[in-house]
Amino acid sequence: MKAANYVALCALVLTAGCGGSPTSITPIAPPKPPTALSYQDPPSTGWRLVRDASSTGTHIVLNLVGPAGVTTRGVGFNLQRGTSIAFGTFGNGAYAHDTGLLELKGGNSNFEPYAGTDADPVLFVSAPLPPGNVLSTGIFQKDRSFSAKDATLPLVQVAIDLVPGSPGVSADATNQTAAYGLSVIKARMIPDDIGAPDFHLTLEALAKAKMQDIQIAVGTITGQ
Amino acid sequence: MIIGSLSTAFGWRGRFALAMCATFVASAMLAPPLHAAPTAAAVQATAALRAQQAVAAISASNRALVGGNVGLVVRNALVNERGRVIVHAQQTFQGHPVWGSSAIIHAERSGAVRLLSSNLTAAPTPAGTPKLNQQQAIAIATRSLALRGPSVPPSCELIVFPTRYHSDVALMWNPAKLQYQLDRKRSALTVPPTDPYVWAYAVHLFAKNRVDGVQDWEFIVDARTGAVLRAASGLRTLDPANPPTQRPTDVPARGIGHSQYSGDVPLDTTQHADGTFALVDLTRGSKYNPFLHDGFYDLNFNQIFDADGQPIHAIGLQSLTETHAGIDFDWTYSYHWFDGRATDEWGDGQQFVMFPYGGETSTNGETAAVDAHYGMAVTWDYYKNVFNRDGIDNQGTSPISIVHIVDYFGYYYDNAFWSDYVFGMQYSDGTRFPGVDPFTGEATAPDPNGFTSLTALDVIGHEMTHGVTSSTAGLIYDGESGGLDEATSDIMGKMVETYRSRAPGTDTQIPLTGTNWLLGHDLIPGGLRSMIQPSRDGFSADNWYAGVKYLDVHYISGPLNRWYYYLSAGAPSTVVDVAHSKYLPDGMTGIGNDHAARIWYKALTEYLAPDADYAAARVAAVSAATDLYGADSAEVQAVKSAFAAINVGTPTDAPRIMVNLPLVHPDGTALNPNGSGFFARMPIVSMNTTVQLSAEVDNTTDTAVTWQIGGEPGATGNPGFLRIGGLLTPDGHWTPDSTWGFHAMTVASHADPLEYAEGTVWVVNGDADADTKFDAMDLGGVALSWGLDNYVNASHAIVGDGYVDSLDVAAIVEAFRNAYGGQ
Repeated sequence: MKAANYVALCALVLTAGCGGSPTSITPIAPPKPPTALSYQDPPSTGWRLVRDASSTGTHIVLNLVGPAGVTTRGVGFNLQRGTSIAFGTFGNGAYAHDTGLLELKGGNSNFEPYAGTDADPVLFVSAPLPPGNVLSTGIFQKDRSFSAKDATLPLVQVAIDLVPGSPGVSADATNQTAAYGLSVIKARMIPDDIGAPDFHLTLEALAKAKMQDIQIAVGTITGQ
Repeated sequence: MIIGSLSTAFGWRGRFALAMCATFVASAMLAPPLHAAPTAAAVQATAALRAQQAVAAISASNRALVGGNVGLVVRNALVNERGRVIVHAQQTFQGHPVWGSSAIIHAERSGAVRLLSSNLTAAPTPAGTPKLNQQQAIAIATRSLALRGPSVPPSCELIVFPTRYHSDVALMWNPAKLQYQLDRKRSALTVPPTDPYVWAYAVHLFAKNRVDGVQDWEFIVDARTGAVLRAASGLRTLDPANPPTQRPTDVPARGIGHSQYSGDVPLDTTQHADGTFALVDLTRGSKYNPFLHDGFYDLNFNQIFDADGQPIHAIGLQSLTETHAGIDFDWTYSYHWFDGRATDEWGDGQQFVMFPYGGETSTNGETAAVDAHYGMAVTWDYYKNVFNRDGIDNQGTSPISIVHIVDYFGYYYDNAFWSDYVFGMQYSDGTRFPGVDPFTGEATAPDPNGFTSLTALDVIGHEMTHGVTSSTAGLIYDGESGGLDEATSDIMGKMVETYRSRAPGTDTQIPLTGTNWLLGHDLIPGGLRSMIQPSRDGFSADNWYAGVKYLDVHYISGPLNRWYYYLSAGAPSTVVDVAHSKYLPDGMTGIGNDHAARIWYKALTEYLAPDADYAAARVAAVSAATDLYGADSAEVQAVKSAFAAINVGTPTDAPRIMVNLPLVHPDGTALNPNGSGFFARMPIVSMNTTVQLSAEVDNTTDTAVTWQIGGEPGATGNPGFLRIGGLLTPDGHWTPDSTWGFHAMTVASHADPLEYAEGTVWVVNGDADADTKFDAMDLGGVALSWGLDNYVNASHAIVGDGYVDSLDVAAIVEAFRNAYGGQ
């Protein structure tokens, strides 16, 4: 953006003040529009979004994984993006893909009359929040009789797409962030220990049934 | 069968004989000689055969609808006054019923066969194959109802279920709060299958015990997944004391009853060989009550037999009572037939003294039974003499009446009901006078707004008519069809009461005038419902509008009740008259009760399909009036004008302006597109989330609209739904505030402000983590509390109940998608 404005300003000055030929100054050529994206995983070993092998040059699939030794019952996060990339979708048009690690169905017949069936409503959503640059994704087990899952395995996938025809971006770090930046601005997870799977309210459940704030590291996207 | 009063006896016999000739061979065993009047059995046998032939003919000529795996079988058939056989036929797939899919077929005496109306489908092919067995389906339904006490053995049948009848969100009226609230038991907490038809089990559960109360449910369980797709309640009961034994030496007797509401009345009773009397009417009914015979179990699941050790097979109208004793954990109840009385004089004409227990079988306790027994006979005669209907099911089956019933806990209450399963009526004694607290044995405080005993004649006619509707049109007790069911009972209940006042020698006619148009006027001053001005109760609709289906079925009945009043008594042109209709400002002339009742009875029994709505009711009534009185008759015009007066159609058949209110996302795409999704009928939004309302206006070039939050345009009252609905801008952007519940908004046509639609939106709290933002993290709160009996955190109860279950899961997911889109 700054480069383009600078060129425009020069042209105006030369025309109004110099009165001579502008051909004496060569404009700075804008960067070429990118045709592909690359993603470099974050160096973190904590909660992070890492590139999945199924990614392509224009559709990067990111796996949410957690630190070693952590088990979880579900995670939610708000992912903010830059202007030159878009939130991609999966085959069914959804903005996120359930890897199947978290068991989303009800499984305890003490809780549900139709335990473990396909008809169970599940706690899994993903959609951009207005005005559209933040993808809000949540995937949670609802049946506390199920075991928590190893967070080092992919819990859920989201995708980043190149916006076709997006303008090129200079190597300036600020510009890169504005165009390709990704950051998780809010994230919470349900830990393993949320109290016993007792049908009735217990003091233990009162004390433990809480979500934990977490930080999710995001890698770097570059337009190519 | 119906032998019309319009035909002479000779003429009718002649016409019937012609019809009999065609089927003589097949029905020879049952048919009488041709020169004699056919017996009821012969008529029935002929009707059955012609019904089979009609179904076969329709099947042969509608191969797109019937053939291969898809069949059509007779559900019931009757013969009308013209010798036409009206067949209600059930669609099947591989021999299994397709739930709610039926056809009405008319087989004329000429041999012509017509498919009148149907909701048959060309391909009711269920997806997949059943994976559950019957025992598993029963277990699922039993767990879903969460019965804790004993019940009679359930029944279970494999069916094909059209998923469009998924229960979805069911509402119930809360009279204490004057609001609608969620009816969890009738709501299906499952995502509707995307397949239009699925294999399913229809499971019926029946129980009556102190822990569960009276329970009568039909569950539709997906045979592939075990999901409950639909839950619907009826009411059934019983546990015995002195079941009757009928012996050849019993003879009909005529006693006298001192009734509470009808003065001294004649009672048809039974005299035993020992000279004692029983409140069993041997002169009406020709078949035993199927519930007493086949479904009558004690609490140990042992079938109840009569004194001869046989299934109870007493024939005739029977009246009995619940009896009660003890308090708290020692509270017990039983059933007692009014039998063995030394004289044939019954009751004392006084309101039942409920407190203390023990008076149910006393002379005072007999009084409610006198009213019930008398009302049952009057209603039976009404259907027999006016419509030539052989009882409720037109088969002569004997109904029963049970008086002095109590509720779940043991309290007397303000209601009565019909039960298909019991094939009878049950009546409580109201709360106007002191009852019994079953936990303390003390007297309960009288309620000045409560009812007296529910055995008034129009109420009896109302309840018995539910049985007639169930055995004919089979209206689905939900939405507009449920409203038509309720109105039909109100209409016929008032006609039964009016019929009682007929002059001697006019048994086949209903008096043209003299009707008290207040249902239940004997129970409470002003009655329960007004047919002249249904909205007088503050809850019922006076006229149809798009969205009337969201009301309780008893309030959806309002427009049809008013239609019937207009049809019979006419509509005034005087604006200040409470009966004045702004949709028919110049008024109309009525045709009197007799013709009006015949039109609606014919519409009910010959034209209405189970899923009929108000538009279908108009079509049915016009067809019925045309059959009875001719296309150019004053009756047909009156039917049209009366419907026009409740905003259904116009007197000239010209189209009305129609307004609809689909609710849409901020981007303009419809919420719940195509009626699919978990909340197919009811959009759900999170508090403080803006949605764009959008109206559709048809039949005019002026599509401008005006908005308001709930209620009739320009009116202030809409107590059925919350009206404190946040901010609604003139262009239809609506942002609900932080009020849980069912909100309504109204859109009216600019071209004709009388035409409007009302939509209902369920407002929930999506901010489960209480951070003032509604995002995907909020799902975690629901996950933390799901399945707990009591909620861990109030904000986790998305729908506002005191616990968190799959309804909250579905609600927050749906609200999220309605706010932001996504899959």
